[in-house]
Amino acid sequence: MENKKVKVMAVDDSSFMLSVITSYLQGSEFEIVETARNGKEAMDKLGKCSPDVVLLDIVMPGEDGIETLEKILSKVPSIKVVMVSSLGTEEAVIECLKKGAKNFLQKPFEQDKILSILRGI
Amino acid sequence: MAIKFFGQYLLEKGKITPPQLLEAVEYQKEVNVSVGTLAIEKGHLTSQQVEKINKEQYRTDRKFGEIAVEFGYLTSSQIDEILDMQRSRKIYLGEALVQKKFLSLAELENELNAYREEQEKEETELSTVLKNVKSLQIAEVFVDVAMKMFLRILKEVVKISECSLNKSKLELNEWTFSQKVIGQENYNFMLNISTPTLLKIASYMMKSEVRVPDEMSLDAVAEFVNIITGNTCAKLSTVDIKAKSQPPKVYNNLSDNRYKLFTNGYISTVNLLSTIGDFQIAVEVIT
Repeated sequence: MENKKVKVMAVDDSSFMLSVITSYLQGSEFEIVETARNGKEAMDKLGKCSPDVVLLDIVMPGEDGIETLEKILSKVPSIKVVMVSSLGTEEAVIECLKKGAKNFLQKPFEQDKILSILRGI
Repeated sequence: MAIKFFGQYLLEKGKITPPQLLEAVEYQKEVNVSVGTLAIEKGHLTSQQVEKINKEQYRTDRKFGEIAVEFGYLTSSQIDEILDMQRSRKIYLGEALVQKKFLSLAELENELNAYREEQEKEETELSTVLKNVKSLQIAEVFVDVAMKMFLRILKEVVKISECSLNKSKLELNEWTFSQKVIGQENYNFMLNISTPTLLKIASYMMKSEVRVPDEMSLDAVAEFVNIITGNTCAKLSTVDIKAKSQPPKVYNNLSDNRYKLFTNGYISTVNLLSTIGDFQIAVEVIT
């Protein structure tokens, strides 16, 4: 019987980063079911794709990832959110964790790192 | 490898959990006494004076001591005395993790050594000259991080060919990737490059040959700049300098007929040479 894959939505304003994340998860137990380029798009797509996990960038045009994090968890408290950002300041990391992110992955990262973080949550 | 604060390093290695990190940080806040509290303890300030200074701090994002002296509440030597007291009582994150029994002392020592080794790996030409981060100007930190990322991500050793400081204009190359950083001062970090160099960077980022500057390749190079800027902010945060980046922007200067950038602030540039092309990093201090 085929194991059910973990559904992941990736949110990043960089289409390049979305393609990197998608390629890193290919062949693993995690499946990218949707991508979004900003917070508003993420919220619009959230209900339709029902992801188990959201990978969320911070620095995005319009609403930043921290505001989006709060909205996602307010709408679907059971979703697990992992922040994925180059902005690994202590302030940003602590704020995200306090607001309910399950972990924080700082760019740049390799494939084994993102898989390890996802498996750990 | 990213430039990160120690807590993030431990988190990513799986040595501590997010709740443990949060608990240790909260514990640090309880134990590490603020300058204002110490000043009240020593009888130098009243709580109303501290509140007034805190309000001004929030408004202007300046240091407590600087404002206290400006308001005439404290002298510089009183500030120095209080800062010495604060330093002697301060506990760092590692100590907090040990006191909360999330790490043993031996584990802390091992992890600190590994962390320092990782963060200081591949010293760049700039960083071997300027070792003390606190004394570096923010622009120099950006250049230092950029040179590290050229090495780590593009596998390219870059050499400095020329620096110029405090100019009022910048000669633009074919492409400029820029990203604003907002903090106590505001900056515009820029990568100024030719099309062939852009294509080379994009090819490295995308791990395949890129022949035209299309949307994806421009995005890849913008992300490279974003990584440099974000890691610069992370590095600055380790020495209590708060800075936050905004999304990067891409300018096709040829098609936009932009040849020069004039500034009301000032611009410093560093020209770098590598086997994949010449780069120019420019840092504009925005007034």
